[in-house]
Amino acid sequence: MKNLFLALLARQPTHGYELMQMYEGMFSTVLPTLNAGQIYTTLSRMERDGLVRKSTIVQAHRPDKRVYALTEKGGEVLQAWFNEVLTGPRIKDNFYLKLMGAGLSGTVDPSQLIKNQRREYLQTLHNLNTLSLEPEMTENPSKLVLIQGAMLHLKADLEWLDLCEEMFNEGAR
Amino acid sequence: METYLLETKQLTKVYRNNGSKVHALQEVDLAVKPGEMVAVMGPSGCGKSTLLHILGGLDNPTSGEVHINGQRLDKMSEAQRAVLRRKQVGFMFQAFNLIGNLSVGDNIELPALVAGLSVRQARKRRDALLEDLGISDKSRNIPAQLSGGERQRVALARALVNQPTILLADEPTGNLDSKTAYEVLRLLRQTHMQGQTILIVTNDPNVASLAQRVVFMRDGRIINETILQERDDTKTLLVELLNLEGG
Amino acid sequence: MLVAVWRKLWADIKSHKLQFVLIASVLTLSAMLFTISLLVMGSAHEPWERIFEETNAPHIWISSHQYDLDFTPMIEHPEVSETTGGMAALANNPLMIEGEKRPVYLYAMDDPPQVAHPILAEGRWILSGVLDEIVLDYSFGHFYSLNVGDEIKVLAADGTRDLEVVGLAVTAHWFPYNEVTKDIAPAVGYLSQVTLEAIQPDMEQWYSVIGLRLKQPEISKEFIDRVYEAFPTQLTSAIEWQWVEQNATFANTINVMFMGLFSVLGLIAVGLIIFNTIGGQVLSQYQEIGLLKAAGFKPGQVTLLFLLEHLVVGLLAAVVGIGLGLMLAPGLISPLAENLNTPPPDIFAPGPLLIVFFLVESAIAIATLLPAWRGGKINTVQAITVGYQSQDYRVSGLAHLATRLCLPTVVSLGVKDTFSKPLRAAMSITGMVLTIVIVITSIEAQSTSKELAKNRVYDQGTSADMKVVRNFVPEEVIRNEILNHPDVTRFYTELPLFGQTPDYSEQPILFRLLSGAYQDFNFQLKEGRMIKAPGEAVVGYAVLDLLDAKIGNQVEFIIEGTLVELTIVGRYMESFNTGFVVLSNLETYKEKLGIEVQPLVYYLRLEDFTAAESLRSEWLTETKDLISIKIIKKEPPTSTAQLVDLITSLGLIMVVVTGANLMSTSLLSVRERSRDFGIQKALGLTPAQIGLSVIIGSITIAVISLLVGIAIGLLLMQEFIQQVGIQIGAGPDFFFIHWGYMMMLLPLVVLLAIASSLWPAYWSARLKVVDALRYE
Repeated sequence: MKNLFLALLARQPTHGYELMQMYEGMFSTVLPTLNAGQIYTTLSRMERDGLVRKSTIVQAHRPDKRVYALTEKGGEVLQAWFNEVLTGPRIKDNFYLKLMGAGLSGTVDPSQLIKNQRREYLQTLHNLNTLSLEPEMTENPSKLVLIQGAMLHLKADLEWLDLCEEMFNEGAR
Repeated sequence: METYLLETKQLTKVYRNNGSKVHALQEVDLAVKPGEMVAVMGPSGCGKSTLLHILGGLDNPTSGEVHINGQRLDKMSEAQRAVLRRKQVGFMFQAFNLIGNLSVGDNIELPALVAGLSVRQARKRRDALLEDLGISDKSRNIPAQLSGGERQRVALARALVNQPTILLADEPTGNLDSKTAYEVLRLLRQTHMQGQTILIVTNDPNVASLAQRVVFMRDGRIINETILQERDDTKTLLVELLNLEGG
Repeated sequence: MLVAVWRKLWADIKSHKLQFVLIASVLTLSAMLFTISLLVMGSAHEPWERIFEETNAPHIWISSHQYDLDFTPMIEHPEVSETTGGMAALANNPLMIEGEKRPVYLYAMDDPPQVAHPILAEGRWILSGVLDEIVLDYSFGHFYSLNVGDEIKVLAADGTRDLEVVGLAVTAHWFPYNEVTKDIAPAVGYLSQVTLEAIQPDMEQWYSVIGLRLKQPEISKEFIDRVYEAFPTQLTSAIEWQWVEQNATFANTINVMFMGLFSVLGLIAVGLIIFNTIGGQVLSQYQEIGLLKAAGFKPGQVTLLFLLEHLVVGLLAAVVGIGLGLMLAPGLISPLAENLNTPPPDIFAPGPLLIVFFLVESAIAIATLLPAWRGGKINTVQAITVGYQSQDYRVSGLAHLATRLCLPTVVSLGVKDTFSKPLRAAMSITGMVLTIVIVITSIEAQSTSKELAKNRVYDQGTSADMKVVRNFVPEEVIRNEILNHPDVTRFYTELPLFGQTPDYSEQPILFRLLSGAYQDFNFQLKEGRMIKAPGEAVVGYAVLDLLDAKIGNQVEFIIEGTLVELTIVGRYMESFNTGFVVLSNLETYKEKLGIEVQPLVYYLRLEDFTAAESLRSEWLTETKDLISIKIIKKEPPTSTAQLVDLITSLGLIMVVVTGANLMSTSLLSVRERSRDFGIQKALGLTPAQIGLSVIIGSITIAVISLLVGIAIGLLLMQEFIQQVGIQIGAGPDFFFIHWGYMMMLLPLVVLLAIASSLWPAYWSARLKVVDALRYE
């Protein structure tokens, strides 16, 4: 959340309310909705850490406007976030451990676990797939690409399940 | 008893290859309900294409029964099966398989004309399908002038022109990049939503997951099958997704 | 490279057996056709000129009724290069053949001279000093089926004498003896001096003859004038070579023209067929080419590989084809050679065979080079991934038309498939059109010659059954005999006379002065009407041409030294005397010349043609052989008939070649389109429908070819026969179309198309969809 706010403020100094609207516009269906309180709490925590600076613009006929701007330190933190590369393969280690455990315990058939998991993955894939084919998606490429990313992961997971199954089948022979 | 559009009983296909027997299909029981979309999934060589060919009457089983819309396919001669195919079966292939020397329009009209429709009727249906699939302007082109996605649309239009009982699709996106594959999947779903019964044979989970039911095949046998549920609250899905992925 | 060629060839042969069998048979048949055509052409080409050269023939023949005339001034003349030397000859001792007297020039020629040495075609030369042997002119001998060893009677001073035919020799001495020339030119025979003496002991009756070769052949006419000046009274005749040539070659003009036309058409057709067959084969290996290139072949090497591969096939085919051609050619050529009065050509001459070889191989090279070069330029990646099919498919106009016409789906599919490769379709059609043109040529040649025979154009334009020449028997006797005979239904009489035009041009014109019921005889009138009154004339085409006259014109002729004015009222078809013939009334003669004359010839029509033979012998016995009787047969001259047969048989071979080509093309395109057939089957076409569409495609090609071929063939033949007609004086309207045969061509061509596409159709009908659609 913090990093997203920094990214939004990096463009131009922004009023807290505008910030909230920008956030809503871009991430409403993807991320949980924020209320004004949460935004202001986050912003004041960032101000405290010296990442943003608050200034007040006096307006003649309206209440004064408080505008947040990125500090030098804030810029550095943002840059550091961008520079940080995601490392390592992501594996559903939960399921891996479960599968291994099932094999060890001898009380559960691992292939049944695989079947159940495959069904689940396929169901999710089905959900994502139907969603991705909704007409509105063509106008919303940033959402589509997120869904497709997830689908590719699921596809990989499904293929990995095939490998697991093959391993157990061969072990059984 | 439930009525099936397509049903196989103990379907078996054995190839002879240099004296040794290859069991392409072993005792396959499969049933497809009207309006259903079924995917047959499995690695290459599992017999899913052979199954599709037999279901479409392109090949004959060694033993077992195939019923399509109440007619028994496996007892028919090649010519009888051809006649049955005209009205009952629409094919979509991985390699598009459009006829290269016929224009797009002629490709689509051909099955209609073969099925005995008048030229005028065939043209009417062709135009409606071209319109539906968004390729009205390509009618006079020949397949070689089209992109892969456009060709598969023509293939779909051709498969649908006789309003077949069942649409059989063999790896319909196998030859396409992900963007055009997406387009073709959309059209397939749209077709299904309009009530078309579809059977897809594929190795791609993306394609398979579009179906209501996925049947898994290994070594000529059906090993498993999964029924997929439609979810209404797709809106919350994305939120879950990012949490899931982010978490 | 050679190893690569050999391996590829072997692999290709193994994988496409039928295709290679077809290519090889097309090539073999083509080589055979080339061989026969060339040999025939060689044999028919300028036969008289060839013999003139080979026999070292004299440019001038001079004869004198003075048996001991001294020719020395001629022999020593500076313009003369060589001579035969003086020879003794007889002209008034005819041969008796089939009961008729056949005039013959008999020369004493114990040893053949350097100049005018006859070429022995059969048998041997006469033995010097041996009695009663004769060598006959080859054309004469064959005309009457006289063979070596036969006995022949000659009318001698004291009755008849038997001579043994010991040889037949070709000579440019005189015209070839045939149907056309036999009534105007005597035969030629060679004897020993002692035989000559035995036939005619009275040397006063001998002639002396000499043949001269000139340093400048073209002055022969002027030279003759000088000879006449030098020997004003002693000479009987002087004949110069150009005149003989004109008359000798005339008879062959039609034959040579036909042969030439035919051979050229045949060569082009065969070339096209080779091009089509090989070109298609190379393009069908599109994907293979891609693989070859991927394996490291340079474009040039790919071209070379295909070229060499086919040259090897061509080599084998040429050898077999030439062999077959050599086996067949003698049977086809010998009769023709006989009629053209040339010895049968040397079949094993290396020249023509090398030419055939060269022709076949260069046809293959040309046919292979373009597609092979295209093959070399193929985009490797495309070839491997998509194959050839997506390359040059386009929807042709004809294919569109098929859709427009709302033809049944199967028909329109067949037509579209055929024309989806427009170049190949065009080549197939062109090749087949040429074949059909040739077939039509032979049909029209057949029907024209039959029609001519029916109308007796070869026999002075009459439709009589029998011709009687009374010779010295009184007119009333013959007339009474004819009038009183129950077998004769009608007759007319004729007095033939030679005349000239007033400018004394050298062209002799035959006047046939008619009387009697000639109106009832079918003269082949082409313009105007038949003569009715004295002073009218119906003429042959050549007369109109010579005088630059039209029907209705008044023209002048010289007959018996008197100027006669005639009105031309019509033109009829006449080939005798190259059409320089005038028909007029016998009354005309009496009126214009004021002399009473009697007819000489009687043309009869009989109640029953089969009675002709017995009537003839009856009258010959009655008149003690004093009259001549000829039964007018209803057949074309043998040489023309044989030529027509030859063209027909070559046409048949062409049809076989075309059939093989059609099959190979059909098979190729079926192979290429196996995927399309798979799709069509998947879309619900039955095997029978698929097969039918293949056959219909083939039929389409055939029918289009037929229509184009008939159009071109008729135009060509009309133009060609018109020329021939003008050449032989019969006039330009010398053309008969046999529509019945044309109609018969349609089912035949369709049958050929079906037969040649049967196997491809079966193949495509049996094709397994699953295999055809297998994704590679």
